[in-house]
Amino acid sequence: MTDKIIAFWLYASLILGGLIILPFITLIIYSGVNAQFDTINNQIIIESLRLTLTTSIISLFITLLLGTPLAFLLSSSKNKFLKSLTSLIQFPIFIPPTVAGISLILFFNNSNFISDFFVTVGINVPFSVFAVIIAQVFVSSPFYIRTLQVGIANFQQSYTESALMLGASSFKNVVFVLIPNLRNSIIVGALLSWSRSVGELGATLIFAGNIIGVTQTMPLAILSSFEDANGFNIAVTIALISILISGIIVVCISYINETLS
Amino acid sequence: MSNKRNLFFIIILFILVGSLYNILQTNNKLDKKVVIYAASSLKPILDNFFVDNSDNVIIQYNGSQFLKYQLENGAQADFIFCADPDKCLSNFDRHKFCSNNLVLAINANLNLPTLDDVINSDITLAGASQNVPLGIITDKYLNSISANNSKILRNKFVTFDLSASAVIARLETNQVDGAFIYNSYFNNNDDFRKNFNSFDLSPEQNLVYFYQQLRNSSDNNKIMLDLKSIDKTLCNQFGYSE
Repeated sequence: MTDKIIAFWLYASLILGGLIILPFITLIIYSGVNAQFDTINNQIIIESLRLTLTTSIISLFITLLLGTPLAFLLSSSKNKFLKSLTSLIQFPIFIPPTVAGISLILFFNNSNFISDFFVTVGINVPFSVFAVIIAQVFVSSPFYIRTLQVGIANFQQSYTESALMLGASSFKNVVFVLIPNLRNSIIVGALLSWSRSVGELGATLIFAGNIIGVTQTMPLAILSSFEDANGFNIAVTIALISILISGIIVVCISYINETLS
Repeated sequence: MSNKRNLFFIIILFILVGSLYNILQTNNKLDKKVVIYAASSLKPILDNFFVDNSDNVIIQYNGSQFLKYQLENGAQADFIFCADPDKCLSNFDRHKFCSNNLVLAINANLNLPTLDDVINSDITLAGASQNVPLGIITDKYLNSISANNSKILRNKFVTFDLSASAVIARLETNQVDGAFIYNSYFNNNDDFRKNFNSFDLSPEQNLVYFYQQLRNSSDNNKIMLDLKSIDKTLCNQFGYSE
């Protein structure tokens, strides 16, 4: 009986592990043979890579800047309303990205304090590069906030209490005690959030469109190339670049997790 | 340690400022260039038509319905090339561009020389959704033939895609054995002609493309004039009809 259970566990692991890993290996082998590396200077590849990296870096910065105080606020507050906000803020993780795109377009096409602010400063958000960044922040920041909240929950409050007893100000307490101790959560959350931004497709397509050099990120370039009569191998080349970027992120997260443990 | 930390922050700041500058430059592109939204089935002819202006023109190819939706929701463009009059914008003048005929493309390896062979075979077909022009004219064709043949062909559909190019992608990656597509694909792709046989269908089932000027500027007026003088000759050359 025990042998059968072990065999089942082994087969189940092999099937799911294979299902996850083998398609990537197939893509890498296929791209090694068919990817058009001579088209690496192709306008679609260069522009989409440039746009993906720059927009995802800006969206990561916005997430860090605004997400860190929000995560602290939600974690430290005992207010029931703020506690319930935690669930709502995780919504973008669970809804389909296309729903996020429709929500964003409805929000920015109606008058409210955020859309009015952009209109006042002369920025037409929908179908512009700003829409790409906003879509990325919308779908990726919950990953950062959630990871940081878990880090805060596991943090030993005695550290900050000791610092306060020794006369540290609240600001010094956050900068020199709290953030250094939560460094690993911040980095892992940031990497997860950044990888989600790099891979964002549905919300960007609906809210920002698919214009080469302006709103066409790498996932959109893959989609467009895949649908182009002669573009399948270009799509494969972009997919390979995406895998390389994801690979770097996975290695970084694994390294941090090992350091943490 | 302090120097290392300073260097780290300087690099981060440098990347951030560089990205911000790049984003602002990207946003200016939409104001400096002529922005064209076009039905994806027009890619071969429009890429050629604007090849000399490629530095000054940005073209977004997509399904006409999706382009129309984007423009109605705040997207900024100078021209739209729409397939089918219903997919054009109602408050702008329409100018006729080219037409495209419907053909049935079947994998050449299947050795099905006639349309009757296709109907009697056990093959799979890719189709377009009835929300997009290709789907609409495919449906018109299927309604124009005998009810029995129409039913048999409809039962062979395994997909209903949202753009003509998505249907082509299914054919090219061998996900299906055949599909109803536009004739222009055959004339603009040697590999496609080699790998697929085409069956010309009723010439009444053709699709008319239009272009509309959405914004006025000296640059896009120039393109407008060029379009009027050159469009008819290019249509035939690229497998479209006038």
